[in-house]
Amino acid sequence: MKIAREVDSLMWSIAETGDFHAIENFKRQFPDLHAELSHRVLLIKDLKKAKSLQFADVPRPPFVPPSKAGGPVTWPMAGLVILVVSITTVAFVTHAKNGEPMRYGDYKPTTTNFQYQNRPRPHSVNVDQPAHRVPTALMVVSPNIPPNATLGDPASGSTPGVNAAPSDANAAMGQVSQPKMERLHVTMMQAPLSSVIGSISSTYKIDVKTAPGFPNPTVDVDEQDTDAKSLLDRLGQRYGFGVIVEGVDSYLLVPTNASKDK
Amino acid sequence: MVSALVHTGAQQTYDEDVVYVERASKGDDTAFEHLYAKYFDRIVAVARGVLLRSDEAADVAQEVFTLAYRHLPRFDRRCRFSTWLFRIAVNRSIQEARKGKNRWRFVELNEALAKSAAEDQRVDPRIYRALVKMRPADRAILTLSYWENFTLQQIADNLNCSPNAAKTRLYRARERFREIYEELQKR
Repeated sequence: MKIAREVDSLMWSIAETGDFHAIENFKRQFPDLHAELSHRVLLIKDLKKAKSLQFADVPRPPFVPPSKAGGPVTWPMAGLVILVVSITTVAFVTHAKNGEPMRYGDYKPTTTNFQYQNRPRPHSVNVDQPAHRVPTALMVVSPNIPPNATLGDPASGSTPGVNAAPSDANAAMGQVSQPKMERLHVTMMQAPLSSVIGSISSTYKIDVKTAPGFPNPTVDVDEQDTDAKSLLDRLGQRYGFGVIVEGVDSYLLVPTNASKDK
Repeated sequence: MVSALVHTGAQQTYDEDVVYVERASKGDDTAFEHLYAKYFDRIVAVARGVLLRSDEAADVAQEVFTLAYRHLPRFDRRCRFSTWLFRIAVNRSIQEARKGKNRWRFVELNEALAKSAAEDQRVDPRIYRALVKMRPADRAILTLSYWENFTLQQIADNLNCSPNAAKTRLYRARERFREIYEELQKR
């Protein structure tokens, strides 16, 4: 049954007051809404009476004023916290900056023997790529082998096929401050030039980049008691590339037109 | 002086709590204890109407008075202290009921209330079941209207809305209650 909004509102008002005369008047005026009004009267009556249903009694405990210490943060307290946090942050940043070891990129080389402006963008040799890997059997690197010693000679203290580790002095000094002058014995047969350079890079622990158009012939290397720079220079003379020192232990190989041994 | 004003019929406009609020603001804890003693039971009743649990209502009442004590300096003297206090109580009770931590208890509550109502033959247990199924905000407005006999203006003050809005909210809450109640009657 659709009830007009005004009548609906009037019925709730009468139901809420529960006034007997108002109910009787309403029933006379709207006899067809008699049942509806009775239903609402009962509903409101029950709802009001529900309060009397027994809940557990709640005793009133004595009021204990909350401690001032547990109160909201005061301005002096907040200021103190901000001050402490600021001091801690500044101290941490200062300490971190002073105690930070020098990174490779931070180092400014003092000796550069080549001005390479407008040079081609270099790219690194990735020695991990299968194409650049050298067959192990063909690669022998030994540190500081006496000229007369043979590979695998116990007297030389070397083991064939094992790359030389940097000396303790180098490790202690750090690899940035001084260029490596480690002298090794390098032998590689029938290996691509890119693989040889990659192996030299990893063996001497140096950074070697090659410019675009770098040749990649199959080469033989057998150099004894030589350092990285000298080895690269000799290879460059034979296979047509120049060696540019970019920084400490960092070299750029640029192809040249002339090739003596191709 | 205060009692004189009250007895001369000025109580319609004069809030005798103001004196105690002033004293409490200046650090007089006994004045606040007076307000606490005066309103504790009614605050518990409002909280209980929303939460339908006596123990939680008592906890909320304690929180309400703690909040009131701490924020008394910020109390806006343009409204009555009781209005401010009930507003805190309604808000805290609704927040507590909405937390959801009470939901699992409602099943238990249903059974407990039905048993309790059965002992009291005057009250239909479905009333409580219907209240349990309602939203806390709806329970709050029904509590203020039918249990605490607040006028629409007082309800509006407590809910921080206009009397017309309070009337609409009350109407909707009542309709929702009726729907749930009649649904329960059909079972």
